[in-house]
Amino acid sequence: MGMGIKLEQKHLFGILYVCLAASILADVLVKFHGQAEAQAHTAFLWQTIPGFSAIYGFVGCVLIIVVSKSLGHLWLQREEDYYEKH
Amino acid sequence: MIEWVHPGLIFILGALLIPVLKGRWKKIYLLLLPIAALIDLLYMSTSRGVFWRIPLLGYELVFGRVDQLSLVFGYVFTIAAFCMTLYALHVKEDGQHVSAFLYVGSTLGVVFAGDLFTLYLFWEVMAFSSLFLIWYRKTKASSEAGFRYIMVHIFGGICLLAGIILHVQNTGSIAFNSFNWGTGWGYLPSYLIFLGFLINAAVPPLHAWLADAYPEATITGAVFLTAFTTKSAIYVLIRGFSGVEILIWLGAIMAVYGVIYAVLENDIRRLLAYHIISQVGYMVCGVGIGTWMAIDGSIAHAFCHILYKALLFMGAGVVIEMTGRSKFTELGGLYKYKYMPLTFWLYMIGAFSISGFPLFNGFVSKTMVVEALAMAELPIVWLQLEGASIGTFLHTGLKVPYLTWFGRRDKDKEPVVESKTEVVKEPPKNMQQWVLPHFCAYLSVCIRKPFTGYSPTCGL
Repeated sequence: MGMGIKLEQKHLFGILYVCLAASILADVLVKFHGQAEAQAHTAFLWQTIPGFSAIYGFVGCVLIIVVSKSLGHLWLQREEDYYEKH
Repeated sequence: MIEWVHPGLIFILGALLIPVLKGRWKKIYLLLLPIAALIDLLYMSTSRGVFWRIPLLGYELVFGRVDQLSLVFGYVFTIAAFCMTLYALHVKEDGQHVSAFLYVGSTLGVVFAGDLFTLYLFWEVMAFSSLFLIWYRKTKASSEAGFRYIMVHIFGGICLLAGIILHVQNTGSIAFNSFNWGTGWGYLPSYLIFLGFLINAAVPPLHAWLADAYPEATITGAVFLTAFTTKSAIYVLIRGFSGVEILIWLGAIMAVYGVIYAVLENDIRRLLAYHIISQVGYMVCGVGIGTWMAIDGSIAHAFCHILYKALLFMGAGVVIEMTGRSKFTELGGLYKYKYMPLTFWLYMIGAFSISGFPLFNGFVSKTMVVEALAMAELPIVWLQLEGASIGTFLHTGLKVPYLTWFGRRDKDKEPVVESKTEVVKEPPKNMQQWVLPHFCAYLSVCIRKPFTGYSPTCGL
């Protein structure tokens, strides 16, 4: 299937950037091509901003990582062998 | 005259024959049972109504309540059982197969139960049969985790039984339909039954057993575990408590909760287990909204989730089986050095599905639930579920595959897996899951048509 395909780290980043560009492009095209339908389909204000999904995705990732890691280090996490030691 | 047998019976009685057969016959038999159940279900789908009524102590037990809702869950459980059995064909210990089949059979019993006594009977069989899938790992951690698992489930079962008894006392009937919901002590039976269901659905704060026990189960047993307990809980929630508003908030919190814990995880299957909690949150949320779009979305999401979560656990299980390690800090380089490229691609199909990529089945089901939220005008919950989606792709689509199959930041030149004594290669043919990825992709093409009209309020 995909056994022979060489997949290096730089390939991965390249693929991800292409996907990002494609999704923002799709978002913009859908919004500006069908203005009337776009207004009818959106229930929330922020859905009208072009590229909103990408922005929310980025902000969300940063937030999730920052919040979870700080929650973990400050309070939530224990060492991996906590239950063996205690 | 009914032409069909209860599909759960096929599994439960069929399980008894497993220790008798040997070798190749056993393997053929193991695969034939789910196929037989599937054919049975196809026969069943031509009829609607209640069958297999057995009078008991003045009440009437209903073993076969056939309608759209129970059929769709019956289908996905049977299909999943076939794929999981194929994955587990190589297991030599008969007890594991017997436990798994009892587990599947009792889940089908829950799905088709028309009354509360039958529900309770099969609910308990589910808990105890799944316990052995954890205990068969035979490590210290798994025996302790299994003990905690059954404690939680016994507690849940007792809550359920208490609620059922009070309900029967109040209403005089044991029929399993929508429960009355409101505030006040008069609704105590509903609350207790609700609690019992929530425990099986792993709703926080009653969720700890899932991430505790599933990573400690056997490689093949964990795959079975992911599908049946939590999704049958969703089924009973739809049947009994659809439209209960508190479920919306519980579901939204669940979705984000699982994702936050998953960030901190080092064990591959524990991370995936937290994502089960996250995805079940979507379904619980949909049940809470109660509109037709939301319920259809929940059912669709349950259907798709069973398939892709099994695929993800199969991929992770294969990695653990072949390398002997399950922690990210000990894994890496499996693709680069040509150890397990095929597993990588098959895993990624599951990862794309859970993330809701277009062309995969998660796209259809997640969009339905989220759109139901938009239709119900719930912006905060919409943002929470979308946020959970972000985290889901972050972990399942990026973190897990990268850390397992590609390099790590510090030591990226040498493969972490040493191949001194054991050659790490692709797993045996039966573990190379091919069937499930096809389902993941195929269902996306079908779009919404198979998933409409299942909610009990549709009057089917």
